[in-house]
Amino acid sequence: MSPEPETAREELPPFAYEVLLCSDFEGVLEASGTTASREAVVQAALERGRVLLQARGGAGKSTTLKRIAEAARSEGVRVVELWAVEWAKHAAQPPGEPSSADLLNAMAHASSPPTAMSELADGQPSLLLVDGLNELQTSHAHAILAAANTLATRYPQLGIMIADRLARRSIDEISWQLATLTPVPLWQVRDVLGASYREETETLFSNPYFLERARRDPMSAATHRSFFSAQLKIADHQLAKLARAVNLAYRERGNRLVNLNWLGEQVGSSIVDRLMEAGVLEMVEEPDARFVHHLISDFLAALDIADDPSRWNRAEFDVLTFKASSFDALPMVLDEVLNDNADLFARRLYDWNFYAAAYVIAEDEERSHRITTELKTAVLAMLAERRFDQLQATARQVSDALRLQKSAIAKALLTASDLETIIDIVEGLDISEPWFRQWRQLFGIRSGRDARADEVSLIRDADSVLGWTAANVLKRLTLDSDVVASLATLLEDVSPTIRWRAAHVLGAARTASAAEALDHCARGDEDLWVRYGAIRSLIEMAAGCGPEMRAQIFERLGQIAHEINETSQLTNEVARALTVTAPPANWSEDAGLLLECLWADAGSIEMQDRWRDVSARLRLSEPVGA
Amino acid sequence: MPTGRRGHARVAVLTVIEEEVDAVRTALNADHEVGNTGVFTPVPPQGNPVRLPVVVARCASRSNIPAQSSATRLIEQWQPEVVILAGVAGGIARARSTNDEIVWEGPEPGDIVVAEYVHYAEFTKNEPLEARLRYFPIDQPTSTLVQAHADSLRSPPHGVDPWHQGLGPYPAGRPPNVHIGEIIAVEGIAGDPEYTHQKRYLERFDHALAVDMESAGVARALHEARADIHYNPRWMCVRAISDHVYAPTTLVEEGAYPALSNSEERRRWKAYAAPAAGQFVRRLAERLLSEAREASPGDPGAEAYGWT
Repeated sequence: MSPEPETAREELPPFAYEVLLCSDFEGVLEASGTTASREAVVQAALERGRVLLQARGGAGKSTTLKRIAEAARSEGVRVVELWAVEWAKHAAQPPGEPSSADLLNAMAHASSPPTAMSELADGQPSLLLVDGLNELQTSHAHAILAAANTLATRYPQLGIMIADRLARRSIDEISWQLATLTPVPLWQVRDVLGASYREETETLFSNPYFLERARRDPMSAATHRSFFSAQLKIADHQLAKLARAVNLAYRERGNRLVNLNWLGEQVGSSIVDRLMEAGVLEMVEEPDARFVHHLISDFLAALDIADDPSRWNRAEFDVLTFKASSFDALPMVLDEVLNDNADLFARRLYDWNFYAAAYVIAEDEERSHRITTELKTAVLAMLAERRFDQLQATARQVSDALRLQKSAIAKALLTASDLETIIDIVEGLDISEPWFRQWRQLFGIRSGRDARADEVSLIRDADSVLGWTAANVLKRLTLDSDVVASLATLLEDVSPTIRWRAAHVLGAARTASAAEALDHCARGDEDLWVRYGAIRSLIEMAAGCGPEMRAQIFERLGQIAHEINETSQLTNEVARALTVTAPPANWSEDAGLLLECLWADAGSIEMQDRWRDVSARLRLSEPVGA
Repeated sequence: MPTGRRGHARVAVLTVIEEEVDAVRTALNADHEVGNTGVFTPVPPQGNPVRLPVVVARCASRSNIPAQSSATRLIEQWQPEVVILAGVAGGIARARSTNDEIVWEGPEPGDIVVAEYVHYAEFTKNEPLEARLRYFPIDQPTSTLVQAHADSLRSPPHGVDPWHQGLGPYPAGRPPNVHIGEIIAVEGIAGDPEYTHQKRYLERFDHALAVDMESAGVARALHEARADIHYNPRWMCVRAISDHVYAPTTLVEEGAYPALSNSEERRRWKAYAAPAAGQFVRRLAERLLSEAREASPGDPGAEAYGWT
C-alpha cells in the first residue's frame, strides 16, 4: 500500500476529510453523497460486495484504506491488502494483458498477508483492499475491476474496496457502491497554514497531500521542486538527472517502478541512498522500488519535459500518463513551465487529448491560475459542443470533464440546452484578446450552409485550438464533394494530427468516397490515433447514412476485426462508439455485421463476452416487438 | 448451505417481463418485499441472516446478458439451492405433410416447455458456405430436477390435482400440455420465419421445442457460481408458450407461412401463458419445498414450506 505523507508523523492530528457514499458517478464528480464513518464503509463493502473509492491524486485514498482496514480488524473482519500495480505485475502474461483469471490466480503472490482466492471460501467475513488502481493503464484497471467483481460474486462474505482516480469506469452501478472523499475542512486548512493561509490557495491545500507538505515545511509546501531542494538538499543539476531517469523508467517500463541498481547508475548511489534514507523511495521487491507517493514520481517524470516545449507532443504525453491512463503528472508540468508558456502547454495537450486539457484547466483553477481565461473558455466551449455528440460515450465524457470545473462559465456551458445557446454564451463574453476574437468568429459559425475551401484549410492550422475548432465547425456544415475530396487529401498529410482532424470531420460526410477514404485510413495509417479517429468516424457515418451504405461500412470494419481486437484503444472505442443517440432503424442488426466478426475473432471468452455485452446493449436500446 | 449477502432462500425464481413477475408473484403469494430490493417473498423477511423458502425477482431487462447479470446477483444475494427461470417463450412449429395437408406440430400457446438442454444460437463465425457456432461454458438444466418433477407434473399420479387446475377456461379448448425438451436461446425475438439467421438455427437444432432470450444467460451464471465444493446450485427453465415460431420447410413456399409476424399472437396469448408459467412454478416450488433440508455442522438446515 502506498502510504500518505501524513502518516509519517503520528503525533499530529489526522486530517478530518471524510468518505462520501455516492449514488452515481455524477455524485462522485460533484462530491455529493452521504457521509459515512469507517465502520459504515466496512458495512457497505460487506453488504454490497464492491466499493469503488474515486478521488483526485493526493486526496487521501491510501490513508483512508488504512483507516478502514483498522476499523475492519477491530470488528473481527479479516483484511487482505493488495497493491494494484503489484497484482497486475504478478498476473501479467507478456506480451498480452492480464486477464481476470490470471489476476485471480496471482492473488496469493501479491496480497498481504498472502491469501489465495480459495481461502476466501471459508465463510469468514473478509475485506479485500486494493490500492493504486489509478496507477495502471486502463486495460489493466478494467481487468482488475472484472476480477474483483468475480470475487465478490463468488464469495458473499467478502467485501472489496478499490481506490481509484476520478474517472468514469465501465462498471455495473447497481452492484458497485461508489464513494469519494471530501476535501480537508476549511477550519483545518486555516489551522495548519496559520499565517501562511491565502484564500487563493485554499482549494489546493484542502488536498491532504499538499496540506501535509505544508504542515511539514510551510516554506516548501507549494512546489515539489522546493521539497527536493529544501528538504532533501538535492541540487538542481542532480534533480534534473533524477527527473530524466524517472521519465526514462516510465517510458521503458510503463509503470512507476524503478530498478534501484539502474537508478544508481543514472544519478549516483549517494542520491539513491539519500532518497531511501528519507523514506521518499521504498523497496517493493528487490531490485524494484517506488516513490512513496505516486505524485512524487509523477513530479519527477513531469519535470523532465517541463522546460522543453519541443517535447510537448503526443509521444511524450503518452509516456507521462501511461497512454492517457493517469493525468496526475500533467498539472505538475504546468507548475514548472514558464508563465508565458502555460497556454502553449495547454494547447499542445488539447491536440493530444481534450479530456487531459480539461483536467489541467480544472487543476489550474485550484492551483496557480496560469492558463489564460481566453484559452480556458475556448477549450471548455469546444468540450461543451460535444455534449450533443451522437456518440453517447463522448457526450457523457465531456459532461464529466465540465463537471470537474468550478468556474461559472463551465457551469453555464454544462447546462446550455443546445449548440446555439453555447455559441450565444461565448459571443456574450466581454473578451477582447485578438486571437480569442478570431477563434470566436470561427466557433460562432452556425449550421445550415455549405462548408468553404478556406474553412477546410483552417484544420491545418498549427494552433491546436483553431485547428480543432475548424474541424468541429466543419462537422456542422454541409460537406460537398469538393470539400470531401479536400479532406480525403488531408488524410495523406505528413502530420498525424492533421490526418486525425480530417478523419474527424469526414465522420459527418455521408458519401461513398468519404467512407472509402476513412476505410483506407482505418486499415493502413501508421498512427494509432489516426486509425482510432477513422474507425470512430466510420461508426458515426454509419449512424447517419442509409441502410445499404451502413451495411457496407460495418462489413468493411469487420474485415479489420483482428486489428481492433488486438489494440485495446481501438477495442474500447468501438465498444463505446456503437452506442449512439437516436440510432437508425435496425442499428443493432447492422452493427451485428461488425460485432459478429469481432466476436468470432475474440481470443478469449472474456473478449467474446465483451462483444456479446455490446450487442445486448444495442438491442436493448431499440424498441422490442409487442 | 452458504448464505448470500442478503441471506438464504431455498428457491429463487427469476422472471423477465412485467406479466411474468406479476403472474409468479400472484401464484406464490409473494407479497413481501425484502428491503427495497425488488425481490419478493411469501413470508415476512425477518432475522439475521434472513432465511426464506422462496424469493421472486425480475431481470433488469430482456436478453441473455442482463439475465446473466440478474441471475448472478440473485445467487450472490441469496445462495439458493435451486434457481428457476420462468416466463413465456416462442414454441417451435415444424411442418409435416399428411394426406396432402400440411400439419404444424409442436407445443401450442399455453403449453409448458421444461428445458432439458439449452442451445445458444447467437453469434456464429459466418463463412461463405456455412455458419460455425462458437461456444462458452454453461450449466445445463439439472437433469435430476427435470426427471423428478417435470414428469410428475406432466402426468400427475393418481389422486393428485393437475398443475393447471384453477387456471380458468382454456383458450385452446383443451388443458395445457407439458413438454420436456431442448430450448434455443437467442438475443432477439424470433418473429420472422423468413429471416436467414432464424432459419439457420431452427434447422440446426432440429429437436428444439422453444426459443427464448434468457436461458443461456442464466445457465452461464449458474456455471460461474460453481466456485467451490460447498455450493452446488441447481436450476430449471420453465417456459409457457405465447406464440408460434415456424421452422423452415420445403413444404411451404416463401411468403406462405401461417404468420409472417407473430407479435399479434404473442400479445394475445401472453395474458394466458404468463399465469400458466406462474401456476406451474407454484406446483414445482411446492414439490421442491415439501421436505426440510437437514441440518449439518456447517448448515442450520431449512424447514419444509407449504402454501396454505
